[in-house]
Amino acid sequence: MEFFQYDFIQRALLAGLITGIVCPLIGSFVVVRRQSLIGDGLGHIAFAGVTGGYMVGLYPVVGALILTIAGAVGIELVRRRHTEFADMGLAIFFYAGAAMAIIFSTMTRMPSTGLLSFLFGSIITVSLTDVITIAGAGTLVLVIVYFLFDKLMLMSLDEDIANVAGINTGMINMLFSILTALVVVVGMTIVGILLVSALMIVPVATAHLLRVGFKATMGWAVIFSMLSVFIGLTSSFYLDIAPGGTIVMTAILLYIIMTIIRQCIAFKERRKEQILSSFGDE
Amino acid sequence: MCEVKLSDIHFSYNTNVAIDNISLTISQGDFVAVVGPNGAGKSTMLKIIAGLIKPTRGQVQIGGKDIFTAKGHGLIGYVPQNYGKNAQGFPATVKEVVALGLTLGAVAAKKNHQAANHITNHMMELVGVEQLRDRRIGELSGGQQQRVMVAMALAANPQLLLLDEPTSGIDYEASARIYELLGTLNKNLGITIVMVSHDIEKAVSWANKVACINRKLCFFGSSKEFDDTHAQARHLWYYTGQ
Repeated sequence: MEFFQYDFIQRALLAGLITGIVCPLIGSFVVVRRQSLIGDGLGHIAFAGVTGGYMVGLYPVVGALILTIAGAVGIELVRRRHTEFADMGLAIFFYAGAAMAIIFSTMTRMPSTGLLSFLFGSIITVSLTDVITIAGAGTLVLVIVYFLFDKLMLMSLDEDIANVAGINTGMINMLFSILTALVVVVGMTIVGILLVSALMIVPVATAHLLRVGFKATMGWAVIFSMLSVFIGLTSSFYLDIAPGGTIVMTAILLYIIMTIIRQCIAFKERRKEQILSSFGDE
Repeated sequence: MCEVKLSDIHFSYNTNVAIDNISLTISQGDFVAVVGPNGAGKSTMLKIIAGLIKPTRGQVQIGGKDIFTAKGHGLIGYVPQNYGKNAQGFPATVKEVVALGLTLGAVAAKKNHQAANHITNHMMELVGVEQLRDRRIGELSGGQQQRVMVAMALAANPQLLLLDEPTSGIDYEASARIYELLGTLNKNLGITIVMVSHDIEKAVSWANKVACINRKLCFFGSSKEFDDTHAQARHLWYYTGQ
């Protein structure tokens, strides 16, 4: 296939598929912890990091990484102090990130094409260094989630039970926030700041429709996410449209298809029950 | 031995006193029902025993060790109040949730896949949820969810089981089955149980000891003694703490 012959496509696919694995992996916990908007909040902070980093002469991704991790730590600290209004703290960080990004972008002379590539993703211009960085970050996320899987799942179910069992919930929550920040920065390169949260949430939402167990939901979310990246990237190449938006729209399309299938199954089951009960009446 | 000893426990939120100088000793194998009116500090006391809240004054010892040292050795199983709220929509199956209990206790059992599977199956059978093993916990009734949570706590092989209102929001029959299950666990496995309950009659009939609190300890003794006490005096303890 002509598509696979280009080096930039091979790099984009590799980086996209790694992102497609780690985003729903972290997203599976984010959804059950009812923190679905954290990716958006951190995305805005990442944007401030990109513009701020450029302003002080740092590589924008490094700037984004530093500020996003700092933001994630801040969000977690606020969440601990204000458990009843945890989303309020997230909103403040969200706005602070957006405000800083606006201020930094007016203070710096970063070219608008550079800004746009971070906002909307730049999968076509992914370099080999980017692929290595994404693979390294992805491996780190995979290893940590593997070793903390049970504890993360238990804490998502009930943090008090984990606490009584002597699990250091504070440390694990902080580590999870930092991992989320890492995934946001990794995803930012591929689908862009505005859409990175979608790749963390939408495939997980689609997998939830299958009504299977926790591990199976996570597995299906990764499959849906990788499918979205592959189909989205291929379509964007042939249709000559933005890859980030195409990937996310593919993920949303999969969600819609799965919802329709789910509704059809539910309708069939209800119909079957009605027929069986009518036979019973006779 | 899993003796629970509370010495001069005092706890206050800002200036509001929630627990006032409570001292009591729960022996190994006791089934204690903690009763009292709304806002009496029952759940606060249970959280202090569980080590979730640090008392303003006083000390909690489990098996002779300070609670903050005893925590994390799989000694204590905790079933929180309003668990169902967390379970709504949670995508884990019953088997996955019960297996999570192994994370709380012996690491050796968790590492051995066969042993882990055996313990998980046994716990599901023990509480009567083995037929629901592949159902998602969020799809179960309140009573069934509560049984799953008890099975999860038991998978860690605890010596002390702490339950906060295990029958709240559950219908009469389901709550009777939960009390029966706790009674069996206490009698057959010798697990010490401390249970906060609003259902005073039912709780007292299954427990062998009663702690009646209204910020301070109003009564601590056998359930028979509590039952034999004049109804009016009980009413006074319960509602006024005098």
